[in-house]
Formats: sequence, C-alpha cells, structure tokens
Amino acid sequence: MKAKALLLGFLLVGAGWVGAEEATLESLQKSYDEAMQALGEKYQAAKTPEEKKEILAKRPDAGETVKAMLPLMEKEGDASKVLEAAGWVIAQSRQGIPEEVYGIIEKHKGSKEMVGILLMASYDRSGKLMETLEWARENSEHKEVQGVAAYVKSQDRSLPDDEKLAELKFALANIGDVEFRGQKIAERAKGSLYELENLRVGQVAGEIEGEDQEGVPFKLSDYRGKVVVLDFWGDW
Amino acid sequence: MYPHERSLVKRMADKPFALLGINSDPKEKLLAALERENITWRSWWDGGSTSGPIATKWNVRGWPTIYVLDHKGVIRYKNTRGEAMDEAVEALLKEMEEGK
Repeated sequence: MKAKALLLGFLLVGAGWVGAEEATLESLQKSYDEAMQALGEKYQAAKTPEEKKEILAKRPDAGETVKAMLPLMEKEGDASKVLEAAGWVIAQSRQGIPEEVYGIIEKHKGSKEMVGILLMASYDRSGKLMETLEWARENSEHKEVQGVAAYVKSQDRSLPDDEKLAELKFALANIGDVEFRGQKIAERAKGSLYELENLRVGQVAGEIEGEDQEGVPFKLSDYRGKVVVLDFWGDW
Repeated sequence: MYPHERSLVKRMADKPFALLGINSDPKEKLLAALERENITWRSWWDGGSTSGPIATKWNVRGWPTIYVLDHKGVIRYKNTRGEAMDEAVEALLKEMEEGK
C-alpha cells in the first residue's frame, strides 16, 4: 500500500504536480524544465554509451506536460501568461504544435505580448502561425507588435529584396525598444538592413579592421588585388 | 572544415589568394585551435564571442558563414561551401588573369 502511494506520488511529480498544491502553468513548466536539467546532469555524468542510452530513454515526456497545460491555458485570462506558456509549448513541440494552441493564440492575437510567438512563427511548418503573423502585421493595435511582425516577415528568404527592405524599414520605424530574451529586436533588424543594403552579391564589401590573435592590426583592404575567402568561424 | 581549408590554402599558395578568418572564440580557445589544427591563415579575433563587432556588423547568425570576394573587393558568392567554394575561387582567379 505504501509502495503504491509512493509510486503515485512519483507519477504526479513527474506530470508536474507539486505536492498537494494545484498545478499552474508556471509550476508545470518548472517541473519539466527541472526534470530535463537533472537528466542532462545525469547524462553528463554517465560513463558508458549504454548508460547514456538508458538515461535518454527515461527522458520526461513533454507531451504529458503540454496536455496538462492546455486546459489551464484555456482558462487563464492573463494574456502574457497564456502567450508565455504557448511559446514554451511551441518550443517543446518538435513533432508538431498541438492544434489547440493555435486556437488559444488566436484568442490573444491582439495582445501586446504576442512578440515571442511572432518571433517563432517561421519555425512552424504548418504555416498557421504565419497567418497570425500576417494578421498582426496589418491589424494589431500595437505598433511595436506590427513592427515585430514586419521584422519576422523580412527574414523570409523567399521574399524579394525590395519587399524585405520595405518590411525592415517599417519594422525599424515601429518596433521601438521591444526586447525578447534580453535582446532588442531593433538591433537585429538593423543588422539585417545593413546586410541587405551593403552585403549583397555584386557590392564592394565594407572595410574590416581589427587585430589578429597576436594583437597585430590588419584590414580587409590590405588584400585588394587578391581573391579573398572570408570565413566567419569558431572552434566548436 | 579545417582539412578542406588547409588544402585550399596549400593549393593556392602561389596564387593571388587569401583565406581570412573572423574568429568568435575566446582568445585561449583560438590560440589552441590555431596550434592544434595547424592553421596558417590569418584571422581577426572578434572579441571572444559570437556577438563581436565584426560578426554583428556583417549580421552573421550562423557559423561558419562564408563570403568570397574578387580581387576588386566585390562580394561574388555568399555561403558557398566545399567544392563549390573551391570552384568559386578558381573562377575568380581565372577572371583576374584574363584581366576582366
């Protein structure tokens, strides 16, 4: 009997229920994230490939957590909490985003908190988030949300350059100082604009000035008269 | 990447060609890689992270990112790799010899 109760306790913790307290969107995410972290540490510590394989097989099931989160997302009225959770669910859903999530996002698509979701839109292969993106680009009441949507649109490689340029300029004019995970989206948009205006095939590359590993300064224009391969690299 | 680049640099040693790196590693890691991989070509050290000034200005979001420039400094190819990169370099050297 005691063993059964213990087992039940484990199952509940595994599904994200913390003790007797009622699960919240935050607590569900937190227990999953913690379980994943614990698994990662075990994996690092494992010595043999067999051990590693065994640990991976016990990986917590994000699907279960997502299933528990969906009804809470339906009930929750605070758009920022719902959309934060939706972003988390999208990031976990490598096998495809659960249908319900689109409906939940649809309800809050006019919110100012849509930035994170819009930044993920291009990763959704179903294309449904792209429809939401188009909607937000044209219809959001919040200028900065329209700006973020324009920035995401500009990153679509299949878009002709002049349209990319128009979207980027619109983004920079409207985006303000919106940040996502500590990074200003305007900075990213500025980088894209510079690339589009100055780093196209057929354009003369801008100067590069800096120092080599010994601290000796050199510049790209020192190499005029030579064919040059520029290789942005890291040893990882 | 390293073996391919090494052989390109070796093959082009007496040609008007340069492979230039922009490296995003911490300094010690860069020094270790240069020695371990026997890297003879020059790299700018971009401040020790992927958000260094050169990579930021060039809007680099993925590594490696490759640009091939002709002898006039014009960008001619972006993100070409492997054999295609070798062919690009050879085509540009040929173009240069022909005095275009």
